[in-house]
Amino acid sequence: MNALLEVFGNVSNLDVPMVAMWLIGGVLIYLAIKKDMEPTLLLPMGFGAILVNLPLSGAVERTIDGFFHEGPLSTLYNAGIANELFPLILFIGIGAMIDFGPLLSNPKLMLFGAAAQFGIFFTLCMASVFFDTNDAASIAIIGAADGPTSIVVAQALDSHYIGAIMVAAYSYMALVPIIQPPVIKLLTTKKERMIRMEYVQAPVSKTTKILFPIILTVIASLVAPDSVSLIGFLMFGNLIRECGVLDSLSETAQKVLANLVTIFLGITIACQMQADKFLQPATLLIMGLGLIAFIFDTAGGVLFAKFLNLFLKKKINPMIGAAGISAFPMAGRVVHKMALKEDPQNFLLMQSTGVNVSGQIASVIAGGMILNFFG
Amino acid sequence: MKKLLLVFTTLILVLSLASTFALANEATEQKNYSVNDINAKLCEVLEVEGLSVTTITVVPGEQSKMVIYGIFTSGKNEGVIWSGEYDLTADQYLALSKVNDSALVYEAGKTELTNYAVVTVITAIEATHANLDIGDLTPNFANFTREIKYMGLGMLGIFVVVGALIIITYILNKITSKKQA
Repeated sequence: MNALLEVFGNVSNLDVPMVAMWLIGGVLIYLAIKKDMEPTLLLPMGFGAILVNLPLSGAVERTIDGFFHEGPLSTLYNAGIANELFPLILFIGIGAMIDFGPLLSNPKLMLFGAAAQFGIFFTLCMASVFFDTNDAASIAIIGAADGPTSIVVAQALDSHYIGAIMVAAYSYMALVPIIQPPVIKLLTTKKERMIRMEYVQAPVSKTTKILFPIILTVIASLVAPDSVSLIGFLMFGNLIRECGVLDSLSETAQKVLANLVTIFLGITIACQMQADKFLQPATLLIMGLGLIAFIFDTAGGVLFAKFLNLFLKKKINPMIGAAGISAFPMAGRVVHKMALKEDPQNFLLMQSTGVNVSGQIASVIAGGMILNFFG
Repeated sequence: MKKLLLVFTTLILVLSLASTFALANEATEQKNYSVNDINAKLCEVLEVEGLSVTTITVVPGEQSKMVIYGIFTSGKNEGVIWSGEYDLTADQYLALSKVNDSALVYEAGKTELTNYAVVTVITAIEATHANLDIGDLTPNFANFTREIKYMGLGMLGIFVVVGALIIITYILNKITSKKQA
């Protein structure tokens, strides 16, 4: 009997919240595999959620009989997420993947990327009704629709809800094709959605493509010095891509580095998904506020385009404002598909991709502004 | 293009004016800090009236703390002595322990606190109460209007950076296309 207790005694440490987290982890894994929703992050997060919610789990730090044990996930968390290192390294890979060509050939598209960050600041005001300033700012940055930015900001502001913020950020990024269309349709008329925009491929020189990331880093850092790491790492990745003499590094950054860090990031962020931290009423509220952030991001971009149309002779299709949300490349494709649905001859892919890329830049600047205000 | 520039410039000007106004208001309200500000902050976080600080001490050690003693000067708690313990970060402990050589940072009627020390005390009170409030989701709708200025400033900052980038990119495109021609 004693031997049985010794072997299976840990089962008595199991409780209902742990089992609930197993189910949540299972849902994330299901969404990743069956629905193909951001599988690179949701699957590791889902499995990590199960790992950290096993009784006396050896994967995370715990104290047993007065002795402290640090598990490997806690070690990885302290090494890469507590100091914001993993998401910044991932940004190098993301920067190497981005082609600023469509944006640089039509720079005024950057305005829509800027306008589509409105949801972040509106959600900041909404979240501050329920949470303290730092937590509200961390929740608001879900609207950046950018995982690494969300992690860096939430960690730097020492948010108490990092796990919920990450789940919300990555889930809604995957749900952009479901969230955006109803908002766009609500704010636009059929006639507006059918506006055609001529695309003229203006040549962009290699010099411009090389100077752009450097200049962007300097300007953004002058305004928001706390954004140096965010913007700098993103633009460094882009510079590796565009310089033309570091093809092997660029390929490594885009594939090996990005995939490696993504594996560590996904499974390690699950450290914040322990039942006592995650299963709180605040988690549901954070999910709701994250949705508000995405909705108002979309609305901000669309309404800005409509506002500009009041003054322009050559009208802009207001849907491209919605592509300013940083969920790349999904937001751009959603707008392009909606345009084709209204008018099979209306090709907005290049414009929406340009706006989508500018949203990536603007979201990182927004993250830097948030750190500037509250960091 | 000219109309776009005009609209953009107007937007920037409006946002700048709104944010400058909001910042100026805040700046004029908080010029000289004093122990009265500490009293006001304590009354706010504790949701009581008439608390007057008598002494503030910093407790050294691994978990450096600040202990505030006060007395209620009005309301139903009048005459009651109160004390509260607040967490200090390493920087806060350094900032306060430099005020006097001893652990007694402030004594009513005998010492004065600098602006910086008052702000440090207030920040420590806010941080400790924020930690106590985790999980407390009681809505405070006044915070919505308090944070609106950050909406203006944030959007202004993003548009300023993006505006500068647009101008620089146009210039770069023009220069490099001339060279190629």
